[in-house]
Amino acid sequence: MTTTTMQILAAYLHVLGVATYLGGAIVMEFVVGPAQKAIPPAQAQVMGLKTADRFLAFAWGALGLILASGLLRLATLHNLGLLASTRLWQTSYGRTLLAMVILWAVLVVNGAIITFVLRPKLAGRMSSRVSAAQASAGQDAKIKAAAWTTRLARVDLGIVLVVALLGSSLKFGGVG
Amino acid sequence: MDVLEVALAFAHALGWATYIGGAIAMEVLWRPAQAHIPASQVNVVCQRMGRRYRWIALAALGVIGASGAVGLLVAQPGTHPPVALTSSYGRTLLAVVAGWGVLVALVATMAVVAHPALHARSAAGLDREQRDAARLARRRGIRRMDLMLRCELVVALVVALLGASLASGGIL
Repeated sequence: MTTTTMQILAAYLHVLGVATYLGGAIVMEFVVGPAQKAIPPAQAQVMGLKTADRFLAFAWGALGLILASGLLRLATLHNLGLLASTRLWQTSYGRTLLAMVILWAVLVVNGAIITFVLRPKLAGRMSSRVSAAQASAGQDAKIKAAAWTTRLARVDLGIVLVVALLGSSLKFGGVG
Repeated sequence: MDVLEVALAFAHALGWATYIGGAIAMEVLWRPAQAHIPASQVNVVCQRMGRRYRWIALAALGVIGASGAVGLLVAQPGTHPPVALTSSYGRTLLAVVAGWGVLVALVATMAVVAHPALHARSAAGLDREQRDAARLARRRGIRRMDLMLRCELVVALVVALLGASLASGGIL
């Protein structure tokens, strides 16, 4: 495979990774979320769980693709060494790239919190033997987990928009 | 760094990300989730989601077209190869514009014709034969819509590949 083909492939996969993450987040926030309110709460909960579970897998795949294709892109542009050099914070391009890497890491941390902390709380079933107080506490915990998931998803959407802005500026030398 | 060029590049990237990511998400997230919800509720949700999503998709395509056209006009001389059919860049760009036109036509057809037709209410007082015919027409409409959605996704993915190649001089 020629360098140009690799550059095109890396650029395409990078665009797809960012598009699936950003577009998926926009669809979840502005299309799926409001539509859930149109059906009974029990069905809305099923719909929310099914779409959110798939979105999480989708988001993790996109984050992996963004990292892999980003590294491939830097390699095909003979710029991989930038990540381990002082140019990373001494040049505008390097600082912009560094900011993107840090924000990507924040997305990974938020994704891990949603996947491993909040989702299990939302998906857990309550035993039929619990007392009324325990059932109420369990319900409160679920409501809090749902509220935190929504907040984190909105923060992630904001972050990915900033990442897209930074990425768009790289072609012109960065914004840092 | 030119702020206008960065803003246009950002708007262009945002438009494509919203459009392609949205199309993939609707196919990968929503379609499988339908199996777990009663058909009557699927119909309600499809109507709501379809109505919102189509306008978001059309707006994204509008942003792509406007930012792409203005971006070409304000680009500094020498930042891209000549826009002519004699260059690979020019041919690839022409294919991207043609693909964008196909996408606008597909999304507009779905937003204005196909989607509203799926959710049109049958008139009261139909006899059994007319009800069966209406049901059959609706089923055909759903199949046509599915086909259009998949065509849209394939065209969008091809256009994204062509667009991604422009930074390296095009591939056609």
